[in-house]
Amino acid sequence: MTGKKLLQRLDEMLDAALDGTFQAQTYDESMLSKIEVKMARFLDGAQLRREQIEVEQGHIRALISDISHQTKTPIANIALYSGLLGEQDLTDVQRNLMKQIAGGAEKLNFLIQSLVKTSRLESGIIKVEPQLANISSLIEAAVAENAVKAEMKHIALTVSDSDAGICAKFDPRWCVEALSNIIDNAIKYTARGGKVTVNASDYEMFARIDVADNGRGIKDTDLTKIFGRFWRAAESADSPGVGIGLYLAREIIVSCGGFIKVESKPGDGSIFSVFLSKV
Amino acid sequence: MRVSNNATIRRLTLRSLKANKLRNIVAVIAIALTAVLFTAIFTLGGNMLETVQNSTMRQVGTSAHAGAKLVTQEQYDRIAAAPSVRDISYNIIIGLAENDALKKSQTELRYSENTSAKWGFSYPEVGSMPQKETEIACSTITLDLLGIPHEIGASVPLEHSVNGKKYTETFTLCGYWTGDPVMAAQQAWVSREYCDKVAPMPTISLSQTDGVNLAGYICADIWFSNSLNIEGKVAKLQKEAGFAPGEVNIGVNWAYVGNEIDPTTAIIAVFVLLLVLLSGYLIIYSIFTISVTADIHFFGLLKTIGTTGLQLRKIVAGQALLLSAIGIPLGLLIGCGVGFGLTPFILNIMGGNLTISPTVNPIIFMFSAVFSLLTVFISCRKPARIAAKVSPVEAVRYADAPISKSGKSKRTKVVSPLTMADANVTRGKRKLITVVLSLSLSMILLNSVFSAVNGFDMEKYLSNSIVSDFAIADSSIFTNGSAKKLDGVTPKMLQLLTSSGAEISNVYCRDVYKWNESGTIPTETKQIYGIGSSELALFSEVDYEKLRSENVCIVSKQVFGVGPTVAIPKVGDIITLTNESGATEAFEVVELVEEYPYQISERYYLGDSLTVIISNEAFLNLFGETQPMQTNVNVEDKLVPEVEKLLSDYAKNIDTALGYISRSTLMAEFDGLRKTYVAIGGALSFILALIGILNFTNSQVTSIFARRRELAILQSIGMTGKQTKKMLFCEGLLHAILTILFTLTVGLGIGYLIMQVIAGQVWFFDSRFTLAPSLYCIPPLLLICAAVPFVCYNRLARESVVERLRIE
Amino acid sequence: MSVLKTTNLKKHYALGTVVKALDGVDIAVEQGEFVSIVGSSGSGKSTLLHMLGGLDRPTEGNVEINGQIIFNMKDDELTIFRRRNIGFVFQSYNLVPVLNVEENILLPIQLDGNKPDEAYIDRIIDTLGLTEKRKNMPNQLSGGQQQRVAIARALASKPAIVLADEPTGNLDSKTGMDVIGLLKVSGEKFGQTIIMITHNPEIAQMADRTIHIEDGRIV
Repeated sequence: MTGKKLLQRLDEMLDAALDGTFQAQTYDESMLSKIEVKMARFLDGAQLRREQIEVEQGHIRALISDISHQTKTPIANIALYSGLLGEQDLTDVQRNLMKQIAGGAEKLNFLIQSLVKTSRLESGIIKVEPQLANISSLIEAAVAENAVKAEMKHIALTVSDSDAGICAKFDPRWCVEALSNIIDNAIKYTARGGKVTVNASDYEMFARIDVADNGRGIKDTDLTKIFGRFWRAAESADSPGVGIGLYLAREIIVSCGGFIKVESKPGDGSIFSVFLSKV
Repeated sequence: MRVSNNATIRRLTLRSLKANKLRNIVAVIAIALTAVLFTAIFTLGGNMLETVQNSTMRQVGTSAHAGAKLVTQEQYDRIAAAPSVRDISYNIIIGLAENDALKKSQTELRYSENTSAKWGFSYPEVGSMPQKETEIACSTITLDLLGIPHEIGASVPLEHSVNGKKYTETFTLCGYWTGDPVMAAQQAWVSREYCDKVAPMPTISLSQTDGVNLAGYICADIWFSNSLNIEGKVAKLQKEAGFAPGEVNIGVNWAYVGNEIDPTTAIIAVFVLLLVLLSGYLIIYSIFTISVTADIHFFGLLKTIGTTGLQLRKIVAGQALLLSAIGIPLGLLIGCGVGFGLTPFILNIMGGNLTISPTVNPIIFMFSAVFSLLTVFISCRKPARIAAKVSPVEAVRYADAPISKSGKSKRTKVVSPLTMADANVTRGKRKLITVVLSLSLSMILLNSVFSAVNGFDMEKYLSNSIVSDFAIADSSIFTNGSAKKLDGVTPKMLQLLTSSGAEISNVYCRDVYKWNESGTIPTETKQIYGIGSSELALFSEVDYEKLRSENVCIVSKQVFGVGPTVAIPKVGDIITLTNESGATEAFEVVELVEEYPYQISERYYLGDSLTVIISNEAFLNLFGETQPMQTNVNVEDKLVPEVEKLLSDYAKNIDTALGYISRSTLMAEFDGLRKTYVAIGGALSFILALIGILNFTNSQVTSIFARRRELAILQSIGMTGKQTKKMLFCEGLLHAILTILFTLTVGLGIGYLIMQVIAGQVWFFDSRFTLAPSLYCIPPLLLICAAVPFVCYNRLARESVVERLRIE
Repeated sequence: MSVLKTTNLKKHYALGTVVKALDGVDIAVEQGEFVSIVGSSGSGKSTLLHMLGGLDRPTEGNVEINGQIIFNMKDDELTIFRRRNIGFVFQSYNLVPVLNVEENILLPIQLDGNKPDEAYIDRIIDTLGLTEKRKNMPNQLSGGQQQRVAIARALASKPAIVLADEPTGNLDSKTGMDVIGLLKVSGEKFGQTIIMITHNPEIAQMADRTIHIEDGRIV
């Protein structure tokens, strides 16, 4: 085998290895054959390690799933019984303690729910299936989910009507969840009597949904951190929430081939823009 | 080991080539013009060489590489069997024709194979080679001398002798061909049958005989594989055939030995080749530099995304190669035409009895193509380097302010179209130099050619050929060849001349041989001239009266021959001259001269002969009443046309053998020579001028086009169209002025030196330098240089300023 | 591990007085990051990007890409390194005008003598919405489309880093968002590390991280 042919063969072998389709082809006394076998062994080793890592990750996910599953009943019980307890004649002090228990249980429940969703999304148990559809249905559903919360906080949650006829690719179920989380987040960080506006606009390659509030805003340095898992701004310790909603929202949108952009001015409010791919 | 990305580079080359239509057209024209020049020159040169070689072959009598003279059948077979012989044919010598009518022109009687006759330029054009014993084939010259009509079947009486036995035969003409006067001897072919009858083939090698009887020996014509180093091949052949030294004489055809190109021609050839190379370089270099500069963004982009310098170079070189693929064949075709058009002119310069034999030789095309390609590659080396060296940052620079390379800021001047033009022109110095040089070349060449031609001295030219108004002699005297008729001027002619009032002076001449006892080898040869007083005055101080009355002679010191076998006598020695019948007369040498004037000689040098000059009277006294060899005629100016007519009528109608030259025909010849130089020099200058103008136009058009946005900006901030035009006009004019300055100073200095070297070798050249041709070139140059930018701008102005501003 | 690291990177121009375009820059970029570099005009951000891409040589300091110190290489080596490891996206698109969309995208791969990974190229072309424009020439495309071709070209050879120099500078803000959106999406999809220069804060916000540069220094 000439030098040129040899190098060409090596190039082919590496290409196959990159594709994951490499197999030893020749079995003879040549150096090349020896190299092929060694390379196959090396690739097998690498493959094995990858598989091991995946198995370990699987264990962790299973553990999370188990924990969430196993905690479901106790948490439901705590909620149920604390509710029952609330119907009893209690002193003010007792009632206050009971409320703390109920609040904690609710928070724990939300956390577990989110964890389960995240874990399923990440592990691919749940697949997002983006399909081309009108985004107005998506906006309507997400807004509807948050209408009660907004009303309770006296926040004007409005949808501008510029979204007629804009289509994009998204998974209806999961994207409603994502957009809903963003709107929920906006309501959460906006003072009573504030404003949350949902607005859609059309781009050549994307459909854009803006969720704008006039809440407290986000510090510049925090802008890239807000999508982190369990991240919460130091100032928001008093607000309810566990810091997983935005993380989940971003995971969903990215899985659909889109992205989220945030623009914010501390004190003036924030705009969360969801970009959904059209192709 | 390289990755294979050639296909990608090829695609980029091809596509970027396609995108540059205008540049391509200009480059193809430039390459074609360069190829035209090369082809024209090589065709000229090739035809010259060929023609000289061809005429030498005709003088030698064969085109074969070598000839084995006088061999036996056995020896011939050994030669024919030698491995280095590619082709061979032969003829058999019988003897010389001895008819009185043929004495003037040597006629050889031989049998010949068809091929040998063909190689010897003596194959019947009408009829065929002899088959029957009584048949003969000969040239029209022989027939004319014998007074036989050119008809197949005519009777040809012929006398010859073989080994002392005389034959008188009457042959039947079976074929004839147009005779060639240049050939040393005419051939008369007879059949093999007749040959075997009168001259049976000897079996003893000639070297073993006394070498007197030659009849029946074979003359072989030999071809080798090629014409290189024939002398070496002959020596090898001698060995292969196993001949003892001196056994067989194999001669080289000297048409193939060294060519007839003299140093002058060689210098001119090299000079012209360099000139063409330079001119081609200037334009192709300029075109490619401009286009590479214009495309620098493109090259930078390619480099940014990973094209290496070498690959960029390949792209530029590949473009040049592709353009050459169109330009060179085009140039070859046109150049071939130009070359053939000019060949007759150049042969005219070389003189001699050369007939043109133009041929299309693939080697000429090869040479021209190679030289053109060489020019192209030399020319685009630098532009390719520019492309290769492009800095990716420079090329992709956009929003950032350009970083100025020179820190110095120029002093603020008053801004006017002229100062702006100056700044614009001088900012591309290299381009400016190229264009100016390119434009200057043709002017310099033209000026040199005209200066050279202007320096041709007619008096020098005339005095070397003729010493009187007319010179009359047998036409053989004025042409090349060995068969000279030394008593060609008839009394009738002389009488006619004297009666027309002309003043005449005669020159007599005899070639005298003394032979050894067997009559085979001349032991002493003399050329004896009898001259008149006016001829004597041309070369000697001796009083004619003394020459006439005192039995004295003058001897020329010039002797031609193999070696100094002739002793030059001293002044005071006695020389004895012998006439045909053996009577002698003694003459005392009174003067030794350097040479006897060519113009009154028989124009043929006898080997190892002494030239002895005596008076007319003494000559006639010794040799008896005889006709002059040459008569020099002087007439009054007003009678010149009359005598001219008389001579021409006489030569045409009464005595066709009479030849004459006249001052006026020589003047016409001189004029023709000048015209030839002007035609060739002019044609070359013209093409060079085309190249120069093309170069200038290309540089101007591309520069204005590249600056169209800049110009639009200038206009948008208030420069009027008129001012812009004025600025462009000034730019063009600056080119013209620089060209003129360069041409008139450095250019003509160099031109003068080169002219001295080249024309200085021409014997009738007398340095007379002139500036006139350059000065005549100035107005058209100014016109072109001013018009091109002007026209170009007008084209540009069709787009509105806004449109032009939008251009990236 | 950092894909890209600079150590004390300096670039000085001598223009009568010394102009410090870069004055000791140390940055490190992680695999898969989308980093934007912002700064005003003349802050040295373009110079920095040129250094990162090996287009220009620094006065001092060095750039390490995938653990290789690039300025130790000769010019032609650097060019080849560049075509194998760095994808460029420029403000002025810089497509090769004589090649069509597909040929432009494949050029860096073919310059390296490789056979393109058809499926991968198809995905890129699809992601960037260029499927219908494959055979078009650059001058038949809008600015945004041309920039999308440039992004596809930058991604095609699976480089270690994609460098984008003011990629939206010649585009209106809406098209700009589109293009950067695609850059971000494809970066995420194909696991690409992207470094982008911009002076537009809205565009900069799309990145995972923003580096501010002023007067040749990181601030």
